[in-house]
Amino acid sequence: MIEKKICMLGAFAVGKTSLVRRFVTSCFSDQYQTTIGVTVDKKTLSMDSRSVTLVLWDLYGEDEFQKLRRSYLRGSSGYLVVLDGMRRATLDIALHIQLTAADALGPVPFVVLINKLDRRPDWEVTDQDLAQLAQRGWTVFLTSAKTGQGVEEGFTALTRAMLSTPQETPLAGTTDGS
Amino acid sequence: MAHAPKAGTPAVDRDYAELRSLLLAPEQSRLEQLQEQVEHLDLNAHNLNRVLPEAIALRGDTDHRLTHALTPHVSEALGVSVRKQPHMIVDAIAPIMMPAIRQAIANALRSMMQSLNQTIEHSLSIRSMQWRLEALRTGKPFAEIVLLHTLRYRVEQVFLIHAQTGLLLAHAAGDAVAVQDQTLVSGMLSAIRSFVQDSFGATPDQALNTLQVGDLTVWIEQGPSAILAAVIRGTPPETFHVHLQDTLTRIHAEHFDALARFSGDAAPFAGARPLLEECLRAQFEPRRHAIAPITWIFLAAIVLATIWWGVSTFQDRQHWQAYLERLALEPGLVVTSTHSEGNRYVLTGLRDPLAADPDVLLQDSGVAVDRVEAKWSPYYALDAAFTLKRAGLVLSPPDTVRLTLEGPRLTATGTAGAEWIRQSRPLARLLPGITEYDDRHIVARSLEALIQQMAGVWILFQQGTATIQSPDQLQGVRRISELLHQLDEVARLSGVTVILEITGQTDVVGRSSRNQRLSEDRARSVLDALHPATFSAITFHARGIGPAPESSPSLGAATLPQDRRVSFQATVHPAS
Repeated sequence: MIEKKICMLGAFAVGKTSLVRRFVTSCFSDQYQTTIGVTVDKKTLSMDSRSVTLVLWDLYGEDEFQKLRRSYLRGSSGYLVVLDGMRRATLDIALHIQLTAADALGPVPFVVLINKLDRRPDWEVTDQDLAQLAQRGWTVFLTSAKTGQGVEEGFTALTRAMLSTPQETPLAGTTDGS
Repeated sequence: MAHAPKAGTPAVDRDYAELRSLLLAPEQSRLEQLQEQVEHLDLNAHNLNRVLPEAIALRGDTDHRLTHALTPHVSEALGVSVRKQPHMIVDAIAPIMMPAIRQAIANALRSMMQSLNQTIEHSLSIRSMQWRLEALRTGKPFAEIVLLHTLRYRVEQVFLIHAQTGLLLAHAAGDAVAVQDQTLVSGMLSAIRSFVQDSFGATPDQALNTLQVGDLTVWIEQGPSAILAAVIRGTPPETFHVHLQDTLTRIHAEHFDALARFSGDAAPFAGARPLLEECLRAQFEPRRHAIAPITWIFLAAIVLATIWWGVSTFQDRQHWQAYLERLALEPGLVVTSTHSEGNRYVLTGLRDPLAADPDVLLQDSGVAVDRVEAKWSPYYALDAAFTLKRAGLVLSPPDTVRLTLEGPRLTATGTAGAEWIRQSRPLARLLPGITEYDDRHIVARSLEALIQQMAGVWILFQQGTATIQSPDQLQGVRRISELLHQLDEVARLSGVTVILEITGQTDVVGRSSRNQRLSEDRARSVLDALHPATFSAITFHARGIGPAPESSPSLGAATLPQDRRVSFQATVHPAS
């Protein structure tokens, strides 16, 4: 049994907790509950005949009032940067957060989840933005915590990356997770 | 280019076979050999044993089919082997199993004895009754309530956590301890430590090392690579910190490489589990053999209070009985019933108005007055003393009268006025307990006394006169009249007749005839003044005797006034 610590990062209300709930319990609630501090959850995956337990640290969303605390990141084997496709501002925050995380953790694998795919027509994040992210070499999944679309794939991809080589550079390429 | 001979020509076939035999004899033989080997491959164990181990290993790496295929057969073979040769299996596993079994049994017995001891110890005490009530009220098992109250401290869980990642390395929990998801607890514990450290601006070496929730305390020891967190119920001794630190140090020493290389796999830390289990300590309140001083004081107070109460009650009872005996001896008081109401006595009885006051007796008895409720009903006691006393009260005799009682006969002796004698007669007969009243003596004595009194009264006259006009004469007449009225009434009450002799006298001066007449006049004057008709029981005789024989004889000398007197002499005669 291998355990890995993963942090959920992103601006506030992008759906980090919903993604964790969808991933761990396959549930979704429309009711928004802000995360205070951090909540810890876990999910065990079987990957390549190996059992991996992901310990998910769901951190509070970053905004102008609350900045990411580096102490929460310590020891993470990987992280997910979540942003809200309907709010382009969350993309800028995600870029900032990723820099912070990379600075704190070094070159550990991470995956970008652009959430709220179920409301794609209302997105402010454009295909051009997605292309720029891909250009950076980031692995991007388009997800919906509401429908579950792309969620499993996003977490699985990160897990696989963590298991392959801890020092490996971030994954490249973009997928919508479908 | 060679062509094959056509079939059906025997000569050609034979030649061809011969040629083939000549050209390919060694290869032919080898081919036939190989063909035979291939056809009989499953029977050739000699060939198979050379590749079997590698083949199994190779297949096992590929997938689990070999395992699945072999599992039922291995299980069956094991079963058969155990049935046929059980001793072999026993011999094989005994060295492994026996220590584990012994430890499991010892643990189970220890837990059971501990539980049993505590249950027995607390099953009969007052405290245990309170705990049973608490168990009923809260719905918790009694054993748990006992544990909660007698536990000084118990280390319920110990977490070994990787310092950097917050991931769980090893965990140990006590028996019957509710264990949450250890991975999450480990993660949250790390998160809380980070939160506290960041929020309150602590330096890296100042970490959260104690959490307290209700009666649960979490002690956290920080090491270079790992954290040891102990969940403790109750209040542990400070020395337990030292034990935790020693354990963490030892773990760091024994698992230095594993901690340094940790990348999520906690398997290398399984060896640390016994060290963690050594931290699962518990201490219960020592059994109290000695009784607390306050208990002794309390018991002594109860004993003293009981003795005081007993003595008081006994004395009180004694006083009460003495009071009742005193009442029984007291004439004119009759106790008809007594009973107790709480700490009060209720008494009912009869009381003669002339009897002693029971309240006064009660005050002298030693019984608290406010504890007695007495209901006395009035009655007449017929004892001689009470009858006599009552007679004295009712008749109110003058001091000259003495009343005596002989059975139902009341006797009055002495002297008394006619009025009292007259009034006392009907009253005496109405008195309860008296059927006969004798006042003859008093009547006789009263008559005598009156007669004597009358004999002592003289009415004096001036020389030569027989008229009554001076104040002294008038007073003497009134005095005699009063006595006569009493005498008349007493005589009538006693049924006798009184003859009153009124005797007039003169001095020696003058002629004797004249003195005789003058003395008779004087007697008649007095008789007239007395109105004899008003006295029915008295007969009056007036007479003159001239100069009394004892009168002063001296001629020419002054005569004495008493020589010129009228005197009275009464005699009693039975009624005719």
